[in-house]
Amino acid sequence: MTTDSPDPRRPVFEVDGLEVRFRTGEGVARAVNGISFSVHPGERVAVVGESGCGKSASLLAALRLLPSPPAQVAGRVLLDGTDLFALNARELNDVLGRDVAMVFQDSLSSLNPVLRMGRQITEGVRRHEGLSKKDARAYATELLTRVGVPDPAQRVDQYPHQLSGGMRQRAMIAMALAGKPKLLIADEPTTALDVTVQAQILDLVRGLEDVAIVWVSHDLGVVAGLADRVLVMYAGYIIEEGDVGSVFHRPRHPYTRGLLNSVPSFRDADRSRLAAIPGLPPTLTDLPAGCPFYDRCELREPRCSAQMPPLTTVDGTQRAACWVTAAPLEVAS
Amino acid sequence: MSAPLLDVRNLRVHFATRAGARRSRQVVKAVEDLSFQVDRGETLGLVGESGCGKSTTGMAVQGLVRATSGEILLGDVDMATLRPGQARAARRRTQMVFQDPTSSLNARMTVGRILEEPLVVHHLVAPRERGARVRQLLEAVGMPAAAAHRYPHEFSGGQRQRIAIARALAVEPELIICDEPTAALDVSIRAQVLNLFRELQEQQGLAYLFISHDLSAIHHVSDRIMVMYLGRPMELADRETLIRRSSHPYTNALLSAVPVPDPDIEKTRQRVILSGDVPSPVNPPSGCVFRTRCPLARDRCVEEVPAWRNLDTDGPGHWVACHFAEKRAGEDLQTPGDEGAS
Repeated sequence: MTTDSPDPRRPVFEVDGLEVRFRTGEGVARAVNGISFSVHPGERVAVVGESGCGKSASLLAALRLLPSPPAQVAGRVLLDGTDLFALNARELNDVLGRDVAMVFQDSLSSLNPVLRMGRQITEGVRRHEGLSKKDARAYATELLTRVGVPDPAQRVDQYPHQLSGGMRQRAMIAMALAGKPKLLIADEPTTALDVTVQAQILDLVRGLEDVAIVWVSHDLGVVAGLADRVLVMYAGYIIEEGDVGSVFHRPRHPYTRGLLNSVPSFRDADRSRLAAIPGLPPTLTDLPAGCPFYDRCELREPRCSAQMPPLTTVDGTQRAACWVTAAPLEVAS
Repeated sequence: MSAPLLDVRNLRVHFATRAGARRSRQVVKAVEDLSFQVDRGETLGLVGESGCGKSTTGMAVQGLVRATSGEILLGDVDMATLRPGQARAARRRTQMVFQDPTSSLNARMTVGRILEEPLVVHHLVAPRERGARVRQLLEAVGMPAAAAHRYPHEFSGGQRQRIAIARALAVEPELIICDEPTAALDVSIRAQVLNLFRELQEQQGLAYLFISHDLSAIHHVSDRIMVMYLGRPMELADRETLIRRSSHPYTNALLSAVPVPDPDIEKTRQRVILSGDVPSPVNPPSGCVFRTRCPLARDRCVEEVPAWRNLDTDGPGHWVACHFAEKRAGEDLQTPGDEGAS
């Protein structure tokens, strides 16, 4: 394990020009279309967007977890300076196992039903650090305590089905933290949970330090309470990026504003209509040449259908991919 | 005051199961002593977490599960004790829209046939006029008439939910039971469907029993809201009272747990984080079912089931089941939309 403190200015995770294509019966689906972003040590970055926007595909592809074929992946991904796309399978396994952890939505299918919790939680560290069985069990108990699982000394010897959904998701986070990863990737980890249990997990994650987090979610409320920075994706493009306050209060892309206005607010005293975004997202096998939001956009101009706008800096660290919005857009509620 | 459209009295729905290693017989009390009313043209929201009995309540009202005891009065007909001969005509007055339109629409029927079927079953429209009625239904939910010749898989999730709503409308029901109708939809599409429910209510005077785990969606659509936990009612009030002056600690915890899409509020809000999980409905806690997670629980809560009572007998009604509700009723509690509001 590295003992020197990492350079806070160097990103722990850098994605550059990532593209993902899938060959399907209807043609080539352009799932991710040349996205670039970076995550700094200790930073919490949320990736938001709706079904099919490429938020999960881009992260899976970046970590080379998408089977290829059918996926065709291009671009460059650096994990703490190491080019993941240049590694062989064994080297990749070592790097991912040591430095990256993932937590998924469905803990039941991510856990091995016939292994006791303690063994699964420490399987990775035993392999990468050669812990003894006894030490591993003690470490697993310590981790379960840290993530707030009640009766950790008993739970460590139980099987996944004996734990509730919330406890399993805590155990997944314990497992993720076991190897002291530099990067934690969480893909909709609270979506299947009840809100009061989700609140417990979010509280736990907000308390984590020393780990950079990429949190994939469709839930703008969760993102608002968790992220330092947010990337908004649409049809395989990052269409807006910035610190969470700027993006939520002064969105520059009409899609971001549309999303924010689509969420019912407790502040609406009367049951007014929601400002829904009309229409549907484009089909990934048939993306337009210009802006993919063109058909649904209330601010569209002729040039928008001709050429995809690049992601350009609009204000400080905020970037948006829109030809039209030079000034911040107002959020209704 | 006119009689309510739906009057549910002391509803109980129990299921017998065999669970555990010994396969011993157990009773799941999915709904336990629930009473509520829905007026014509009104939306009552039912909100709660997994296992709270909200879906079972909806299915009992529609007659899809049998009530163990209690009355489900729709006008002067008790849906809980319908004889088979009466069932068809009575059930036409309520319809259901489910969470997953993919599994609730027959994949091998065209949309036109899906919408015609209830017309045929209930002998509603002469055969030659069915096509026109189908077009009218599609138009009402914002779908093109050409959709009638296509199959459900050719549509997106939001469009399929529109088709499921059109099917529910086909028999001209007075009450539609919506069970998580927007839970599977993306944010922007969910807003479209929520708007559609509202438009249909304004045009046709429909009443909704709107069931969801999503308190912000429930607050948006409902006139009154009932909070359930482990099969029991916790609180029932009009939407603003429930959000701003809730008198039940579980409602407060739910409100506090709902993430709000505003980073300033999220950073500063005070959270009530409940410990643990919802207990098993097979073996619910004694006394108040919420006491094992309640931050205010005392000895009395272990021993005594709190009475379901009205705190606001003069006004529109504010029902609570908490021993200490009267003490808390005057307090103005923080609501997620107000804290640090800009």
